[in-house]
Amino acid sequence: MASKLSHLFDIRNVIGALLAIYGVVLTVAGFAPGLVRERDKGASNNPVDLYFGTDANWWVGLALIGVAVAFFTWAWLRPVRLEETPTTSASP
Amino acid sequence: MTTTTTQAAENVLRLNLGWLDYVLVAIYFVFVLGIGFIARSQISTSLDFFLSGRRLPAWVTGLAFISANLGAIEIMGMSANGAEVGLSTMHYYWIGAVPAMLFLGVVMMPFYYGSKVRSVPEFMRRRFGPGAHLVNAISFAFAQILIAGVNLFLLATVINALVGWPRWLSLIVAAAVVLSYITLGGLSAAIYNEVLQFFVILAALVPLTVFGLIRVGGWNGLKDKVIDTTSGGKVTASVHDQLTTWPGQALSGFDSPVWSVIGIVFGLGFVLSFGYWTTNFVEVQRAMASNSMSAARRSPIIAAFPKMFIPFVIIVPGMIAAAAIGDMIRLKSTGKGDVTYNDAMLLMIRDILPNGLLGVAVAGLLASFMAGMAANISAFNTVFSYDIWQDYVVKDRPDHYYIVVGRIATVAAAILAIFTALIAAGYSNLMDYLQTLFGFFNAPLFATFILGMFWKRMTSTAGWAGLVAGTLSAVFVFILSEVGVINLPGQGMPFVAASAAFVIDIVVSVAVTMVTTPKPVTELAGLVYSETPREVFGDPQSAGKAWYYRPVPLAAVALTLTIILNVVFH
Repeated sequence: MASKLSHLFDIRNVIGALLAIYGVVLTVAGFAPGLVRERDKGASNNPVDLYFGTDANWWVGLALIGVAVAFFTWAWLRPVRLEETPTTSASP
Repeated sequence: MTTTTTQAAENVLRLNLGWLDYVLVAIYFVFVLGIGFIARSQISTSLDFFLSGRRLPAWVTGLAFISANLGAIEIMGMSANGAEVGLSTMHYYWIGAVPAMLFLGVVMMPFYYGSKVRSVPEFMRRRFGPGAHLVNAISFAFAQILIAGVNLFLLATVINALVGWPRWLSLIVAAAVVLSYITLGGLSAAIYNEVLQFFVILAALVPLTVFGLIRVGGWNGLKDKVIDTTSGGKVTASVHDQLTTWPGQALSGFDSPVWSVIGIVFGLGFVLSFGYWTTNFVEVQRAMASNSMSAARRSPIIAAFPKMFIPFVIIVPGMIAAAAIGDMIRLKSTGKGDVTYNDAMLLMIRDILPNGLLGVAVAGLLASFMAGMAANISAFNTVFSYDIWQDYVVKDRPDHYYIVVGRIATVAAAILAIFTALIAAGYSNLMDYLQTLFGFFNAPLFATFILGMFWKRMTSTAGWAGLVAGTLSAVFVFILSEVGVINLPGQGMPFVAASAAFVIDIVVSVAVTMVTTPKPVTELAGLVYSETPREVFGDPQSAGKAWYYRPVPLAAVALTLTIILNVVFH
C-alpha cells in the first residue's frame, strides 16, 4: 500500500499527470474551436499580426501529451527505490 | 536581481479570459495544494520540514534551484531588459548565473553539505561565531520578508491588470495558497511545486517564443525589425548594440567598451552573481535538501543547463515585443507611452496566445509568483527557527518543538508579507531601493565566505568587520549614484557597488585579521579547506560513475557550452 502510494505520488507522475491533463484539454480545445470563442482582435496597432489562432492550442496540447508520456515512461522504467529506513535518515 | 515596478494601464493589458482558461488555472491550484497534502505525510523531524530530510534526487533539487529564482520578477524584468537593451541581457545568464552556479557546485557545496550545517548563516556561525552570524541571519530574514512582500505585490498588480480582480483579493488568495502548502508540507512541498511550476511556465513560454518568431519571420525577420531604443531624445541602445552581447555598453552604461567588459565580467559576473548564487540561502537550501554529497554538488550544475537556455524564451520574447507590438514600438522610439518595458511579456501573452493557452500562461505566471514567494518564506522559516530562535532565544528543546516554531514562523511570514505588499503599494520607490540594497548584501558575504573557506588565519572579528564595512561601502556607492556623483545611464551601478563592497570587504578582513587572534585550528575542520580531512569532501558515490553523474566533468561540459553560446552570440 505504502509503496503503491509513493509510486503514484512520485513527482514525475505528478508532473506527467498535470501536463497530460493540460495536453488533452488543449488538444480538444484546438480541434473543437467552437468551445472557445475566437478572440476579437479589436483595434490592434501592431505592425505585425502576432495572434496565432486556436490551432496553437492543439499544437501545444500534443506536445504536452508527448512530454507527459516521457515522464510516465521515466517513472515506470526507473521507479523510486524505497529505503528500508524511511524516516530515520536524519543525522543524529 | 532586477527591480520591477509595474504600473500597468488597466485596459491595455487586460486579457479576455474564457471559461476554459479558468478551468486550466483551477486544475493547477488543485495540484499545488495536493502536493502540500502529499508532502505532509513525509514529515516527522524538523530536518524533514526544513531540509526535506536531505533525501531528494539531484534533478529535483536542480530544477527547484532555478525555479526558486525563476520568479515572475525575473521573467518580467529580464524580458523588459530584452525589449530595452536586447541580447546583452544574456550576460545575466551566461556571465552571471551559469559560472556562479558551477562554482557553487564545484567549490563551495562541499563545505555547505560536508559540514552538515542546516543553513548558510549556520555556516557563518561555525566559522566566525555569533557576530557575523547575527548580521547575516537577521539581514537575510528581513530581506526574505521584504522580497516575499514585493513578489506578492507584483502578483496582485499583474492579476489586477490582466484579469481585473481587485488587488486585495489576489493578495489574500495567493498568500493563503502559499501558506497552506508550506505549513503542510514544509520545504518538500515548496520544492515539488517549484519543479511543477518550471514545466508549466515553460509550457507557456516556449510556444510564446516559437509562435512569436514564426510571426515576425524567424530570427532574421526579428533582426530586421529591431529598432533603436531612445530615451529623452537620445539613443541609449542602437540596433547593433541590441543584436550583439559584447561589449554590452547598453547594458552597463559605461562609455568605454573596455570598462564595459571589465564591469560586466568582474562586477556582474564575479562579484554580483557569485555573491548571489553562492551565498543566498534561498538557492543553497534547495541543494542542501539533496540525498548525497554528489547530488548536492550536482544540483546547481544540473540547474546550469536549463539556465543557459532559458533566456531564449524570456529575452527573445521581450525583443519580439519591442519589434512587433505597437505600444512597445512607440515606447522604444519616443521613450514614452501607455506601457512600460516591464509589460513586454504580458503584451506578448495578450497578443499571441488564444484562449486555452492563455489559461496555461496565467497559471504559469501565478505559479512563478507563488513559487518565488514560497522560496523566500521557506528559506525564512528555516533561518528564523534554526539560526535565530534555536540559537539565541529558546535553546535545547525537543526537535518537534522546532517544527511547531517553523510552522508559526511560516504563518507570521505570510502575514508580514501581506503587510509589506501593502507598504509596497504605497511606496514602490522605497521598495525598489531596499531591493537594490539587499542585492548588494551578497557581494560582501561572498568575499567573507571565500576568504574564510580558504584562509584558516582569518579571525571571527574580521568576519563581521569585513561584512559590515563591505555592505556600508556598497550603500555609499549607491548613495553617490543617487545624488549624481557617479552617473551611469545603464544598469552598471549595481556592478560598481558590488565590486566596491567586495574589494573593501577583502581589504578590511585582511587588515583586521592581522591584529586579532584566529580561532584554534581544531575548530575549523569541515569549515576551512586546509583543515578538513579529505573524506569529508569525499564523494564515494561518484567514483566509477558515468561523467554525467560526477560533478566536475558535468560542470566542465556546462562551462564549455556557455563559452560556445557566448562566442556564437557575440
